[in-house]
Amino acid sequence: MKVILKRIVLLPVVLIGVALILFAVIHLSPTSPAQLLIADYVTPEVRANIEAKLGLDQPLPIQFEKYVVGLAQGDLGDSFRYRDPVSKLLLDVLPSSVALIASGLVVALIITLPLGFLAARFKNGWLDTAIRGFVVCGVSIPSFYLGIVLILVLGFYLHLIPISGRGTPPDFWHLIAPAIVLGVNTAGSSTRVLRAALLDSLNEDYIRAARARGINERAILLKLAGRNALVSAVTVFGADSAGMIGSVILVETVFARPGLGQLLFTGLKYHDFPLISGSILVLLIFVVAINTLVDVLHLVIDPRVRQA
Amino acid sequence: MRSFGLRKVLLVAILALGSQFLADLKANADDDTITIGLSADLRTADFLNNREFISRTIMGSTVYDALFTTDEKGNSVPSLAVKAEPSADLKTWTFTLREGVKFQDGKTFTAKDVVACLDAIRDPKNASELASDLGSVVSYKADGDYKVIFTVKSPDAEFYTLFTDTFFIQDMDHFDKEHPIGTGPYEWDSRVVGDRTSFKRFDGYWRGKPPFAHVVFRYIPDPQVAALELQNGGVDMLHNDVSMYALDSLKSNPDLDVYHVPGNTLIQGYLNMEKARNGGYKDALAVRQGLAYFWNAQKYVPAIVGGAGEVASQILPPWQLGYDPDIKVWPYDPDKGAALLAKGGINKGDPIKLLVYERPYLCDLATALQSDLKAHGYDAQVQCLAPEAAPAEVAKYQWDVLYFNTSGRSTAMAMYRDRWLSRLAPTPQQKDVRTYKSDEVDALVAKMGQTTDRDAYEKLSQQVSQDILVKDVAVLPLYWENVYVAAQKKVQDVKVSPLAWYPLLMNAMTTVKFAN
Amino acid sequence: MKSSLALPIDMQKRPLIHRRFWNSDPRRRFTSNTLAMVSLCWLFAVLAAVIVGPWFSVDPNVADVTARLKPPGADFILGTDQLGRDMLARVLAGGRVSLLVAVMATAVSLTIGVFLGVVSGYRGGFLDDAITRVFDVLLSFPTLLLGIIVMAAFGGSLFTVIAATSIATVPMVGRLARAGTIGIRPREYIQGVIALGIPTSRILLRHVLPNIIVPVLVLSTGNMGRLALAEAGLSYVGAGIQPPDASWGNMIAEGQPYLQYAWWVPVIPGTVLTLVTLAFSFVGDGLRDAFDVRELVVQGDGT
Repeated sequence: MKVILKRIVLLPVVLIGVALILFAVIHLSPTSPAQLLIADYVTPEVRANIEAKLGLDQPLPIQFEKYVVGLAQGDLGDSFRYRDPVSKLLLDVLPSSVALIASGLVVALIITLPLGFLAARFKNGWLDTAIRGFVVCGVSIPSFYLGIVLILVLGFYLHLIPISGRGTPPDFWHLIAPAIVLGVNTAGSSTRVLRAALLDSLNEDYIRAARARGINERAILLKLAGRNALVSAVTVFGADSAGMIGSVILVETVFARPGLGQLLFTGLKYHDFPLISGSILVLLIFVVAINTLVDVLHLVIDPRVRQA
Repeated sequence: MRSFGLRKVLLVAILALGSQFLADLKANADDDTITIGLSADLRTADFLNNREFISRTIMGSTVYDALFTTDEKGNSVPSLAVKAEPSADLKTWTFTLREGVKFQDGKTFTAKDVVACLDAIRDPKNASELASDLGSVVSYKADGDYKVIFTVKSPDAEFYTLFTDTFFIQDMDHFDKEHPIGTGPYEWDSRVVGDRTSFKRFDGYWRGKPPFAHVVFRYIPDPQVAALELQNGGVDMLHNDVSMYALDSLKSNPDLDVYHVPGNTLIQGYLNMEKARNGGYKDALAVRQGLAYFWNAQKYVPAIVGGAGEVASQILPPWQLGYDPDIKVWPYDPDKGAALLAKGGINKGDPIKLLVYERPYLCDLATALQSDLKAHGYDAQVQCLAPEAAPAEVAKYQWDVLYFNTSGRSTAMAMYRDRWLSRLAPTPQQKDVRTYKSDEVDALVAKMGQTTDRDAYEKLSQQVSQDILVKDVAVLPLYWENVYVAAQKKVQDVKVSPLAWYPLLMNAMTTVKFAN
Repeated sequence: MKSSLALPIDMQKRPLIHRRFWNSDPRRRFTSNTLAMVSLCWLFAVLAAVIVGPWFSVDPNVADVTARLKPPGADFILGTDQLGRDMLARVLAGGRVSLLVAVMATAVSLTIGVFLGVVSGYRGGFLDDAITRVFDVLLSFPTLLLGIIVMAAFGGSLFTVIAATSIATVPMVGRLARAGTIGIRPREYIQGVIALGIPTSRILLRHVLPNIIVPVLVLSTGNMGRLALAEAGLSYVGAGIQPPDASWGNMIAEGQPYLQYAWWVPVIPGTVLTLVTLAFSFVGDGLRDAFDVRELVVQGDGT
């Protein structure tokens, strides 16, 4: 419980810290937002009007103060490009990203559990090597590349799934391919950790005792060692979620899916500072949320944590 | 350990998926909806700020009309205005508006609406980007319900073209940027940021009942994915950025039609006039001429660009009034080039820096030139920059050639005025690539503005081209970008505009239709 | 916050593993691991090829537009790309850049990460708290986001890629070093040298570092492939190595549109990169088994 509380208390501090870094980076970069934002041959008066409207004419410390005050009140500012409040834009696409990330996690779990157990059961056998090879391959194929391959094979040649975009929610069919990409990319380390943790558990005394009593190996693996090992695997999920959130940017762009990652991509293209910082902050909240979820799962799976 | 209940979960999931798929299939079967794939997202529905091409295309082909629109040759033709007449001194223009036009909310369109829209654009509080385009306007007023009278700063024989496919007319009595109301063929329906913008038919449209019940613009950032969507029927038409890599397979697909016309977007290399002025070269003109002799457009353009463009010899497209047939592509002559470069102070082994704004083919073309220069002993360097990183690098003025594109205008004068008139040269803070300054060209363009005689106009225009391209060698033309539209066979009457950023004619959504 | 950490068990038994390496058990265990040995040989082969190869191959950036998109064959062993550049030359030149990214980022993150980890673990207190928090924040930052932010500030370049991947790796290394330091600080021999009045810097360098470095090195080795890989994602969003210079990552990103029409353009660099990542991972696994470094989970904040 303490861990979860700590995380929640820490969240605003982390977010504000990140916001400050973002502000510094974007405003110290050689290209001014106005330069990219405003069409190339706008007259000076019009440029001044636009800058005034966006608050870019004020000195940096004042812009910064406004930004922080707004942030504290939950106001992420107006997007330079879309000329809309960033919070509105983010809320619009939020469900799409939540669905994508959640289904990515589900796919990762579906891959991790059986493969982890199988690899541990047949330690150092050919199946183990194959599984380890597969998960590393999964991690080492860039997500945009795997995305195109899936689109080509499943969508274009086999007509099994739609090629891109987002259907009317809940849009399961549009989610399949992007979720597989995210899942395969994430399942790598958790499968390995699950295998390693299972093998560790198998060396424990109580397992040896069970084995001595003649309980078969499969039952030992699934029922006795499994629970402990699962705790580790779930934990690695939390750590890996950060990487997954990063892939969301690529996956949403390739699959033409509206979402936070795609908004961030757009923001970057146009140096849209409020949009960049807003979407990065929300993406970070996702990371923290997944970590917290992992903590809660811990409580459920592991009775020792509950008592602590 | 308890069972995961995985089987149950899976069963439920499969059932849910199945029903969803059927629902999706049904949604796609809608025959009255045209879906158009675009490579960029709608920026804003707000007419005050949609100066950018994609937003202009989306809004201008649906919700809004402008006073003038474009025909297939890129000429300005009447839309909400039926005619525009100048006074004898070309400083007062009277626009006559179309009668019987209704807004989507039922209000009748009159001269008051034009004035109200222009007022809103000029209001500093609104910070409209369009305001700078009205720089030449001194005043305007409504004269009755269907006449607007403009006064302009200097005589301008082409003033009315300023209102072509821009300065959209919104009902200012009910202005809400989230829900625009215009006189166009389709009403605003809904929008999902980063995904799609949808419109529905406006039955009272003045040109007649529009052909589709719904028009949907979908944002597909990756051109390869967009091409696949078209082949699979996920979109009916690709409107911008047809992937050249996919062009062959699109053309050979029996279910698709691929349309193209030579566009008037010029891809070119700017030579560094700023560095020349600051004494960065021993003999700047010789350097520019020398580089021109290495500019092997006739070899590289067909090989690299393929069907995407046609070799260009000058800054006006061949079909535009004012084009000079006497200006030819620079001949490829490395020996002459090397001699001139040496005269200009660049010897073998010296660096030559090529800077590229990232765009399909530009980096590739620059690499080809680099290879050629290297083969002749120069230390040629290519730097391909992402658009967001480029302005800062350009502003250092340490490059020798900058690859850049220029989207064309509908008339020669507009093109020169936009790109080559030195009074529009940027302020020091603004740091732009267009640093060419010539009093002679300025005078010629000003004269063009006062000329209604076509022959005289053409002569002047040719003189300007000669000055820029031959006398000063300020720019090296590369190729004209072809404009592509790819569509399902069932989409009929597709007409393609040479104005490259909006390949379909702006009013296409009223003429394109599905075959039965 | 928790994460997977590697810790050597029974460190006291093998305090000086770096000596008499050849006769050591870990060496024997590693060389008897076929998969790891094959991977290691492959890595050395690749390393040799990318270091030596570019001297013998044609200029990887020279375009010959008359020979565009030629499939692999007798003239061009690995074919040519969309500009008629020799793919073999580009794969070799690109490998230099990609492996440089992996090696540099590993070196930088090891230096900074081990320093911060050891100091914060040894000192404890406020400094430790602060550093741990910063690590936590950085750990929750996807590498791609970091790259994007660094790019926004400095533009896309080799430096951007190395900086972003290093920053992303520092906290991983740092936490491991910190956990190890905390683990051995109470041991008698450390307490002993503290009592002798030996300067802290010397204690850290001579006594703490050698005892915690093995798991850190093992983990870093296994991770090197993923660093080279991170560059591919950065290239796709325009934050990677800038063309025309080659790296495996940007060759994949640039070749992606040709997948359907000229498969070798993206697939060849993609396969090489995947095989290298795989090899690093297997070598990492082999080292972990050999040195008996156990992947285990540290509960709470590692305290």
